[in-house]
Amino acid sequence: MESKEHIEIINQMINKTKEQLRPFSLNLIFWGALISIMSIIYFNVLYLFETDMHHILFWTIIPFLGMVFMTNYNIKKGREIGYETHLSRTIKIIWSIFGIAWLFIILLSAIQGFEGATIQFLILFTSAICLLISGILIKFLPVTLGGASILLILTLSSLIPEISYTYVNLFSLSLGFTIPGLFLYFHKSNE
Amino acid sequence: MDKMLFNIIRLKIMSTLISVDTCDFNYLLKVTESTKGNLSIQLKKLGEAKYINVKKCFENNYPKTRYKITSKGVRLFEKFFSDIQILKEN
Repeated sequence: MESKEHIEIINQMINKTKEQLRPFSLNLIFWGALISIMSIIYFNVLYLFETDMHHILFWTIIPFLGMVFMTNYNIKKGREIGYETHLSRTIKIIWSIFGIAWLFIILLSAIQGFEGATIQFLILFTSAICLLISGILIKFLPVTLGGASILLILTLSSLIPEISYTYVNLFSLSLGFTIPGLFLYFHKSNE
Repeated sequence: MDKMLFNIIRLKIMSTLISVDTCDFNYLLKVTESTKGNLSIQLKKLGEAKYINVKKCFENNYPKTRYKITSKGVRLFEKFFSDIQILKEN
């Protein structure tokens, strides 16, 4: 076999490996939709949450179940694809650390008795940083802008203290997760 | 020139593993278009020469083998690639 054929084989094999960003986009859509729906429910049936424990349970149990569901989906999808690229491994590590950070924030808030606004700020801020890093890594502007928009909303919400948590959550999750997730899902090269 | 990579199946395996972090046997079978027996033999040779790492585990009670290129494998593959490029230019 000639050297030219060797190079052709190497190129062919490398081109067969495509970056699989569809599972990541589905993760963004899922979390965006889930937290937005939760925010709407929370806002409309606020009278059901009589104690702080009710609030903590609502914002802990449902996201935790979501985390279990999406982790299971990601593992199944990974098996189906049969390979993991360096980039998808990096993205997986970033969001796993976000998951640990989220648990840590919840745990600390239960011990220290943080206010709802502080917990929300910490979680949204961490997610914005993870979105910014992910967007830059995958070179996809809507995801990067999604992260930046959450930071902007957090800045604005600190300037307007009377703004409802629900609206902050709704705008942050829609602009930061759902919309970039949909853009990524329908992106041409993501097929 | 590295004789290990002159075999077409081994070259296909290494070219695939250089572009992914890890992959399983079925994916390698699909991309190399080889037979199970031949692929197993070539993977064993690459594993013995420490070009790749073989990790066996269980997923849903089924045995699963995952493959990953070693740093030695990356170094030798890159050297092989630059050698054949020089040959092509000459």
